[in-house]
Amino acid sequence: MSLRLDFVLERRNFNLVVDLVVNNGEVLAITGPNGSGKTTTLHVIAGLLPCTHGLISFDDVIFDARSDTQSVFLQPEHRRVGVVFQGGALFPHLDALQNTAYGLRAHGISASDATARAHQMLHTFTIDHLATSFPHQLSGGQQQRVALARTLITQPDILVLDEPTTGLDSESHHDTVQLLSEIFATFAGPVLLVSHQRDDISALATSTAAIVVNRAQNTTLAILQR
Amino acid sequence: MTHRSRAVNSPRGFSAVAIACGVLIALPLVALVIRVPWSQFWLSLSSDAATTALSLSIRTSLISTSLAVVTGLPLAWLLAHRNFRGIAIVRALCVLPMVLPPVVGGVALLYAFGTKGVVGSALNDWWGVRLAFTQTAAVLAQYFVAVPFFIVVMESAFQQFDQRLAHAARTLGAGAWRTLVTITLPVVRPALIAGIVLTWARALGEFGATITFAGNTPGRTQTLPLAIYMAFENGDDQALVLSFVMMTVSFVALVLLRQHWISALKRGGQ
Repeated sequence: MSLRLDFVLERRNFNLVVDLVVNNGEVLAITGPNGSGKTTTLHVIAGLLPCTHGLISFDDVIFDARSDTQSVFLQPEHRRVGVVFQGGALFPHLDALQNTAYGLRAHGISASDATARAHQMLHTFTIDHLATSFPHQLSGGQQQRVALARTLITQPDILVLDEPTTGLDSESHHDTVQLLSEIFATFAGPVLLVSHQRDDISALATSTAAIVVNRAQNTTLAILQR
Repeated sequence: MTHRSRAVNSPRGFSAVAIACGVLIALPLVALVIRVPWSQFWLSLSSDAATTALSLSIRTSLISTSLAVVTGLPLAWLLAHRNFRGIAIVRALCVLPMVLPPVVGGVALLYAFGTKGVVGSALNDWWGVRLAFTQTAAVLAQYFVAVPFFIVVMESAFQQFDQRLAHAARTLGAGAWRTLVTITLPVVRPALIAGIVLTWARALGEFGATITFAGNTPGRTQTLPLAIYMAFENGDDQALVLSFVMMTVSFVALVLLRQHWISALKRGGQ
């Protein structure tokens, strides 16, 4: 039971090579310099970007396979990869409750059921009093809580988080790390965490992998492996 | 920045020139309003010629604007998201009708859809369809000059749109269409409204392309601007009344949606 990443992403002047296996229950921190392809790697896993060639699979489900003989691409809405984006990326026109219920509605669950379960989720995250607040009315830490609730309510198989503590003040930072460690402790699937904060990584991750960047004359080669 | 510190930075003489500019814009409009024969206002407006032209204008401009929205949205989307060879030329072509003299647009439409035109001759030979000098031609003429406004506003809105929001929706289980309808379009709503209003205002005021390509038949292709021109040529005071109506409609639309179109144009200018 594991997420297998063995792919190459080719861009003009930039090649990203990823060769990793992330096991269920593992929290893998991905580190590397700015612009080395950390967020891009998460996008490829989530299906927001197709790889150029290689194979991405979870258990026996092929997410993305590109070779001379095979071309498979599973759309992001069918991958069950929960993504927590940098800054939360909450929908600005929806309140916290509607944000949280969005994924359930997208999965065809009725409005009343989705609302009830979103209420429950906000209660679990101790932010039920913010249900009718819009993202611009929430602090950074509160936005991050809603973003986590919104992602976890769809019960994803895989969890990926992009800099979940960046831009938070020290108090919300501490709260968020606390919350994340509780979530990770009970999450069954693989977790990938992009972060450049050493303290967070040592508090949250069970293993780390670093992107190593080789700059040649005109092209950059970034390699992510253990 | 406060108003006071801005005033400090104003070069000497700017206020005077600014006032002159404002006066040059406002004076002709005020002059028109002064000369409107108020005593005959309702009589002029309720005349057959006026109501026919008015209803024709409203009908055709609503159709051409709807057409511009439905077709311009996907094109604006592609221009904002795709990067292909020659995109700069496609973009320039899409905006060209904005700066082209409308009469040139009308001539071009004749050579495309007229009975002897590139497409028009085929339409005529195969199905006996003649577009030129019909109401459809009036709609096409308005579409041709107005759709660039919608494309320009929406392209910049799509470029400004935070892609992470659409990405989040997709990973939460929404397909591309659901994401467009429930996330992208609601978030760019101010630009959408501004684009529709600007497009509609341009379509409503269309004159040059219409008279060239659709003609000037009362009841069929004589829209309000054409009716104004004819009345003016005949020395009829009705021209003033109808001009005043058009001016008021456009002015009210722009004032009501001021926030929307100003912010959309600002974003477009960046």
